[in-house]
Amino acid sequence: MSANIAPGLWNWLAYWLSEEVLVAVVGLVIVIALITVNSIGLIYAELKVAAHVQRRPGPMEVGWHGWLQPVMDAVKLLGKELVTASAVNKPLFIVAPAIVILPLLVTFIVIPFGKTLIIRDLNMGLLLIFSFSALNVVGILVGGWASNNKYSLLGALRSVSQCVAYEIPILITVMSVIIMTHSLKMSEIIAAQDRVWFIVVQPLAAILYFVASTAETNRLPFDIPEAEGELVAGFHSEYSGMRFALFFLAEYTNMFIVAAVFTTLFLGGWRGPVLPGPIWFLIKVYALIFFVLVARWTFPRLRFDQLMTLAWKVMIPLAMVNLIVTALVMKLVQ
Amino acid sequence: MGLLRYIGKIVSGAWTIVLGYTVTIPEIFRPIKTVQYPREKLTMDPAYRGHIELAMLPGKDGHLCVACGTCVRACPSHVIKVQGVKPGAMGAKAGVSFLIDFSRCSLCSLCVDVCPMNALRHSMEYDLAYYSRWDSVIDLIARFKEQQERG
Repeated sequence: MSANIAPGLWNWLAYWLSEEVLVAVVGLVIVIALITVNSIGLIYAELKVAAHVQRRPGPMEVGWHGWLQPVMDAVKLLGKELVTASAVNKPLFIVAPAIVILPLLVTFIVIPFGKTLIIRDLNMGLLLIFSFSALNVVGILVGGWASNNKYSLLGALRSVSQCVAYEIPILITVMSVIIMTHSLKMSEIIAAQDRVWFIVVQPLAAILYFVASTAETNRLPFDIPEAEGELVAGFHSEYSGMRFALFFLAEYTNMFIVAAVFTTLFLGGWRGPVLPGPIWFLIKVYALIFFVLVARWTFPRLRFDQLMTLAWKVMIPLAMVNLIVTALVMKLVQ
Repeated sequence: MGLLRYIGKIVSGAWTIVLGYTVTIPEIFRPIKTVQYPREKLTMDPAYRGHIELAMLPGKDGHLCVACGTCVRACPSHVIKVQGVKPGAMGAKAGVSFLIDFSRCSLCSLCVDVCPMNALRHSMEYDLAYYSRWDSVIDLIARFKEQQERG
């Protein structure tokens, strides 16, 4: 009997211990750790950048120069009661934070941290990132709708119209890069930047992507969905405790993903002298995020009609022109 | 023409992105202006108006208050209470009890202006928050003596 079972068991074990499954499991653990550490680090950076732009010291009390402040905030949020108002649509209300954060986890599959440090180098890598990070907005809409609160609903509606508007210029600018690389595979896009980074070849696309992706992550100056002066806190007004923290986590993770995609598309990914690849990748990502953080204290919030004007009348035409010019040049070079 | 204006608007708009960053990014690396209050404290400007106190003059032993009561009458919110004692038949009257209730004071400075002996001045105290309203009653004579001992 045992002789019959053993090969099956062995195959079963061999499957679960195969390289692919191991990579997936280890990758998932690393990604979850990275998301947490990244969010905590970014909250600290946000507080400190905000403070130093205004020439304040920022948090100074918890730990050396207040570096434990975001950890303490996370502990506070963990300990808080999960308030569910009586009028909310309960199942949707509970599931919304998960819808916001889960697609973002998936996108980490194809982010190339180093030459070999990538969970799965899919052929459709770029497409996967954009399709899953677009799901983020569904979570926001569900959360705002389920809250049964006019501020939340308005915030959610604004978020949807904003994300739909800015998804288009993002995809068109990314297309102009894809025309040059002939590939959606992350490793091939980086390989195509062997000699020169695409930010030099495609400066307009880089700027357009940067602005549109800031809008996509609902960061200031495009934080219309959660404009606190107008909408209390927008789509997450009704959320408390860890559910609120998940929305927060999603926002910072989204920032990381957007910056990682920018790094891959325009800054040569993990390429760089002396230092190992992953370190170069993280340096580039956080340098970009720094600009996003400073933008919050530099530019005033756009009015809603200005936001739409910028997307439909400026960014989409510019992206189209950029795409056509890129296509023409590529055809002529061939 | 319209197209040129459209492009010009975009270019000037893009330029403001650069301009905005040149304003805020250098600001990050400039020294910090604020003071971490309970750990460090600011030294107040001489023109600062805290609550009133009895003026200390170089070369004079005691305060100058003669308990004439002018400040008591001048005060619009009845903050001040003064009592004086005349030591002998020939001596001048001197204030022995000078209490103010700071919770009612609006720092109008009328008492300082009106004092015929220039015995009053504003102190440099600025952390004037109390746990009880009785804490806001300040004994200026005791304060004066304490200041004298410290020198």
